[in-house]
Amino acid sequence: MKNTIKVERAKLSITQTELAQQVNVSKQTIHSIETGRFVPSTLLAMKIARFFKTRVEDIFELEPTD
Amino acid sequence: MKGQTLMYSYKWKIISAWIAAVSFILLVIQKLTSFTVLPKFNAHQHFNILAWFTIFGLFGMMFSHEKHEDERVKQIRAKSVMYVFMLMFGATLAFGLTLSLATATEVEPVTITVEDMVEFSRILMYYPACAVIMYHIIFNMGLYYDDEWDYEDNTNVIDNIKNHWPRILLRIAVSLVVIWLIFKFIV
Repeated sequence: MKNTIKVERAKLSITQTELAQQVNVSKQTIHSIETGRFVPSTLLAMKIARFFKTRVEDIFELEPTD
Repeated sequence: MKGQTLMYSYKWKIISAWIAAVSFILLVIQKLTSFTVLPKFNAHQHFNILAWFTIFGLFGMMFSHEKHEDERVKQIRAKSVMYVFMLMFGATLAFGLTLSLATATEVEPVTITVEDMVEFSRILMYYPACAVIMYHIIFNMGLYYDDEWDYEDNTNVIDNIKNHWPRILLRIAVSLVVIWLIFKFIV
């Protein structure tokens, strides 16, 4: 699953740590999601989308292999 | 199970870490000097008591939440517990089979003394010590070395061994060294 969290973060000029604090997870978890290694739950994906004031499908996108 | 929780708060992790650290330092000093404090117990029993507190502290850390107990941490914890369960049960089954296949001529009759019981209790503690130390190594590797962790876990075991055999061999070697070091220290 691809995602645009890094781009969204850059738009708001916030760090991984700041995003992690906002959605109540660790910095390592945000890093892991950004690199595509860890797929977040629906709840966490919705929290991230809500923080960026956008829809989940605008941030997360399924790949053909998913 | 509803109404059952196994996890303590992050505060208990700190307390448990202190218990483990202080006990371990005393354990090393006791191993080197064989000091005794309680007149009722000998040096071996003092060592066992300190080993027990060290393992207890590590056990407390194992069942306490992380500072950020998120879904990734839970997933890493679950897989670490599975790995340790597999390792320790595998070792028990192998040990059980070896003992059960021993013939009468290979085992000499023994008389068990109190000293033997103290020694046996130490060997008994070796088992959870290995489990809990292996757990902390695997769990912390997952937490802090993300590239070393496979979250998907969709590949079956045989294909996984074929694809990653050098890495698996290295981990087996490291595991054996860790177990040997614990054995040398405790027993």
